[in-house]
Amino acid sequence: MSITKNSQPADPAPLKRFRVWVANRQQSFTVTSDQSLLAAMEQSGAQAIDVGCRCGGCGRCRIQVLHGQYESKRMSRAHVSEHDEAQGLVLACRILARSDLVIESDQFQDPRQATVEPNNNNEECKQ
Amino acid sequence: MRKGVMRPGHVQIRVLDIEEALEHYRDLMGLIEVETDSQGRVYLKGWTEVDKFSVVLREADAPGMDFMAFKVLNNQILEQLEGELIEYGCDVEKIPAGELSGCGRRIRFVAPTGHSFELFAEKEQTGRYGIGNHNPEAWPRDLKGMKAQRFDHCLLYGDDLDGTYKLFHEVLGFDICEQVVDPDGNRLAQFLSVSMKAHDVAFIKHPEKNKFHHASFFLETWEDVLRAGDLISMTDTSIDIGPTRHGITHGQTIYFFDPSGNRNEVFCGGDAFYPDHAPITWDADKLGKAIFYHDRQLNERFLTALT
Repeated sequence: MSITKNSQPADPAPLKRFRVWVANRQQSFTVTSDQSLLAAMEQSGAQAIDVGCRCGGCGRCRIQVLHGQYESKRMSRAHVSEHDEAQGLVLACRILARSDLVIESDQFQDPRQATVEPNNNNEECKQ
Repeated sequence: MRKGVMRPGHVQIRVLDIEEALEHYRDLMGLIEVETDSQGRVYLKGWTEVDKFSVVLREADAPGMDFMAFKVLNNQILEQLEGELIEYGCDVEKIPAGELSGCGRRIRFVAPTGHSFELFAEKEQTGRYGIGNHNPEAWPRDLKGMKAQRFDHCLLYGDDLDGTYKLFHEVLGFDICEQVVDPDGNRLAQFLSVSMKAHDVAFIKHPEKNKFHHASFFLETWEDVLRAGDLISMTDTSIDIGPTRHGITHGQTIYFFDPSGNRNEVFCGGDAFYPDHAPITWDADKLGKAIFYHDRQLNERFLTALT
């Protein structure tokens, strides 16, 4: 008698699982290679990163990646400049892990003004 | 006193990826795709809207709202209001007809909260989608997703609520329909109407200027709002909160985010407003119930996730 495995179709690119360590929160969670860091954190029940729009727009989930490899999707330049991105200062909702990661969260709620692209140069109405 | 401003006319929203945005606004929310202009901006409308478009999506590297526009009765009113805005102290920018495809000339000014607003008098009228004006059927049968009926209002966050109210009231003829006031008498939220609707634009006090909280779209029934919630889950769309009811306006609502993090609302109901109505006032310590009538508390995200 042969043992038959559960006959799921073979996944062309099997998901990889990585560990994310949030250094300044002493918390960790697991992320798969197809989900954002923020989605994985929400799914795990951990509360280590602030959750905002989850779509790269509001900047609530800004983190500093200290170690590890990742890919990123486009995120708002009002919250992450090119320089920030090069330094690993990114939005957790737009990052896909490609290795185990060590990150810091939340201490980046700096009060600097958002640099939303100016739409025009009009002064506000003054009376 | 009403000054000839009729209704919200359009909102231009910045998105990070125009294709993803289109899937969201067209396929999930059910807006009708109208046109892509020479700049790559995509125009859409709710199916009940008579004018050619009410939503313009522009790809950019930071999401948010470029501007919100109101339609006025006619060109004479537009000229009158242009003069009054200048006299009031506004720096008024003239935008020629056709800069938005199918829209007449617009005038643009920046409110004290930092948001750009426009007025226009003319826009091509393509009629209600799928049913027209002559012996119309109840609704078109090929609508998608949430079947959003119209662009209804925006909620905007900014600092100078008093200045913006004064401008909107004195120059543009908006009335304050509902407000949230702190013990010192400072207004923390103001819901302004230029029609019979509970709000045509609303503002919440926030230290930064020119922040976009949401663009809202009208649905017919509570069942439609619930169904929108089902569709949000089916598509794994980022949810904020709901379905629930607002204390302010009594509307029934659900909030969610577009793929660039701009918040959207779909809602039904809402009180009727007449210009002789005194403002409805909520105390600041009842803010939770005023915004989310069932939870009776604000989620942090409602106050902080802005574009």
